Amino acid sequence: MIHIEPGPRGACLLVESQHDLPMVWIQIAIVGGAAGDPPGVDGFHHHLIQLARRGAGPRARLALDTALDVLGATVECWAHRDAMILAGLCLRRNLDRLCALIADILAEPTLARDEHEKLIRESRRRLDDVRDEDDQLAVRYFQRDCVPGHPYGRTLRGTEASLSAIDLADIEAAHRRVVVPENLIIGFAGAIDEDDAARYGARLVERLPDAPAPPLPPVSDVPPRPRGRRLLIVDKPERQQAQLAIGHLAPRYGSDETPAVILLETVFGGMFTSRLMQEIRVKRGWSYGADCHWYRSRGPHWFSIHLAPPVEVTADALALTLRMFEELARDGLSAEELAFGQRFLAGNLAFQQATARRRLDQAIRERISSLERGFSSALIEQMAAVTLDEVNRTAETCLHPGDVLCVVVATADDVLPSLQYVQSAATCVVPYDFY
Amino acid sequence: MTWHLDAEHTLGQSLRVRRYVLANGLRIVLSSDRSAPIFSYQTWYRVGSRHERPGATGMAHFFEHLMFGETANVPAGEFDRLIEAAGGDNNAATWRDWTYYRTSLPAAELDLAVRLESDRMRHLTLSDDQVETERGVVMSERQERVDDDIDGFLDEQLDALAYRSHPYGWPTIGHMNDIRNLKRRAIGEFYRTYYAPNNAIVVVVGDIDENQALAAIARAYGDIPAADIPAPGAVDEPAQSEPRLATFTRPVAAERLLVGYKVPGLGHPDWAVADFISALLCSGPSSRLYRRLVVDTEMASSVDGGVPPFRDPALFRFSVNLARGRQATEAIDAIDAELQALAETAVPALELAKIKNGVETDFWTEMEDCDGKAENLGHYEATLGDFSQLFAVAERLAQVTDDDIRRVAATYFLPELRTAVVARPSEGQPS
Repeated sequence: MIHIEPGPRGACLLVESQHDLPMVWIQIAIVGGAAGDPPGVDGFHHHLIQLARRGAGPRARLALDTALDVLGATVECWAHRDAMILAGLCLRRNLDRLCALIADILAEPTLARDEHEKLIRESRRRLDDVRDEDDQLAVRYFQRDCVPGHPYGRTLRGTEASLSAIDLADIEAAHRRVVVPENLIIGFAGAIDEDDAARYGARLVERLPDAPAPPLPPVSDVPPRPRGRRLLIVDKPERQQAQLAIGHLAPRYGSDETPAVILLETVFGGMFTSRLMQEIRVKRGWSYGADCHWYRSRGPHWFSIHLAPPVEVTADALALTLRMFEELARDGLSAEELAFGQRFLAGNLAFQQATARRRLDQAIRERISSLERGFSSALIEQMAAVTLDEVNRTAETCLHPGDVLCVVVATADDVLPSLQYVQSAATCVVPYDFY
Repeated sequence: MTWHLDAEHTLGQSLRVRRYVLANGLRIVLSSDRSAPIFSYQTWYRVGSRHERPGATGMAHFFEHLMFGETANVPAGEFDRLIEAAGGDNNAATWRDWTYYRTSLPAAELDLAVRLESDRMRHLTLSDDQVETERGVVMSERQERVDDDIDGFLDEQLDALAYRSHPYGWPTIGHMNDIRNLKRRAIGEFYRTYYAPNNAIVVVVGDIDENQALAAIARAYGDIPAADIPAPGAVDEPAQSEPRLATFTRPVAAERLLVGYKVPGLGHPDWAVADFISALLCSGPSSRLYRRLVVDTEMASSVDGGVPPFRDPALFRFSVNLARGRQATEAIDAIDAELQALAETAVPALELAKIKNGVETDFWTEMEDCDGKAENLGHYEATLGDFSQLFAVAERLAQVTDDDIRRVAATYFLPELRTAVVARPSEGQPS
């Protein structure tokens, strides 16, 4: 990986050359994502980057779509918590023309009012699609309620109400503020060398305004972790199984606890041989999948567990999962489990870095999260050096099975009676389509 | 051990593929790719849900789950443990025409993959406990992907409505009652019938020495006897002469539509033309149906289309998520109009060129890593008996003409050949 920093006009430029395929991938991160959505205007940054893609330079939306499709190229735009992403892909022979179109999207988006209004209507329709997918519903409600008021709890795609609150003048102002060279991470991967990447990188930013990068939205000074267990039933009719999301706020990726938390995540729910998969799926046949995930972000984010048991065993599956989580926090890992997790992660590194695009993704994520260059690769050595005592101390201090939010997407009448034992004053039932 | 080189194909400077055949009929497809210190080891069996019978649907997929269990030489759970201890991972998939198993490992672990895969081709043991636990997992998978999933539900209904006798009419995952009732003895019989070297293809792509890999595979599989593989019977699917439509009430926010037209199988020259038509209509934001349904009329939140790569005639599908208050019939009319336009009006040269660039991009994107390359090679070898058809189909796509499009649109995409299923919101759902 070649880092050019500062790159053209203060942007960060990353290049990962690999010439075995006639393809080039471009990824541009505009730092500061949905965590910086204005209060009550969830979906703001997603709307901003999507709207920028709907007409730019001399081309209205259809002309821009056609110009890209004619090249066989794609440019997809979305916002995640910490950045807006513009990801392009094309045949090497079309790179020059693709870069010209992306430069237009960055510097001269039309931001037309009719497209703005159309996009809001389209985003509302997309919310209906999410409501039709139970696993996405579980995640959406979990994000919202894990730590009320947390910037990472803002829904990326917005809500009916927040979409209505997006104002075009605010979008235009935000675009002028955030799409400046110093706020950009530009990455090229594939059939491109360093000189060409530098040339194209310069072209991408040459028409952007001279301005300093805006301050990052605060994500560390966050509301405290809610105490006690909370149960949220998302009531949807005619469900045969339940989608469960269980978890709490965890340390920041990149903190001192990182190697230990990754090992806990791996052994508890990050492999097929992990504890969750073995107990829930292999021994009992209760769920097709059972895993856990620690969110890698710029600030503290969630540690969450997911499974989908049939209605008849939902209560038993939830009870077992919570008991296993308690045991993990209290007793940690065994020496054998730790050694196994370390071996798996060391061997698995080659897959995470197998293609130019994956290596570029990793480098951009590191940069967005304000991590040191090469942080992810260096982690392998750190994880190999972690002791059992360190891992288990981290389990005790960073995992909080007594303070979890349990989201259950199911038919409430079918699961509520059997879930009495996790119910508390904080138990809540909501219709699946109200958010 | 004896083997012979059976076929060779090169593409550019980075891809050379060779197929060898052992005396027992096992086919071995090898391609060295040193771009990363890993490899993908895939075993494709030419058995899928088309080889099942009514009342025992889901057998091929259920068995796929059981292949990760105990063998005479490897205790229960050890297969996954050995793979993950090396940093690798594995998975499997079953579809209409095939079942395949993928193991991805660091380069130094080729012997492990060869040992584990050759062992389970022959020595799997099926305990009652294992079968019963896995039955629960498969039922849970079905609930998640079909019964509680609107797309999976409609997919299943569309196939059932479109096919009257062909096994493509039943779901690969199987009907819930059949999954519940599959017997261990019948499962064992299925294994002995179809899991044999002359019904299998081993595909290895990645950081390998081709000669060493070939020798290791020949040593491990060479003495596994061939079996008498029953040929799937020819199925006479009656010709459709009227449109078919079924509607269902489900807890969805707005109507959902799935439309199918039977088009020729992957080996037929018209398959590539049908694939091309799916791109014209649904691939990319400037595609015709996307513009019409999502952008211009705002009738839908999404539209998707595609033709599955099956051996026999398969259902070309359009999938439309309607906006609240809009009717599926409106979308059907719009689809009909676009198909009729393709049958009657020339496609501009620029639009043809656009699709060809997009197809080329997709081709290379699917070949980005070892798993993708091996999956493509294995699919064509298992479905059509020749991995090099992967490249032949890509060439056909690059040569599609306006005449081809008009002819295929006028032949297969007629209103009387349409099958459609619609999900409507339950009473009390938002409108």
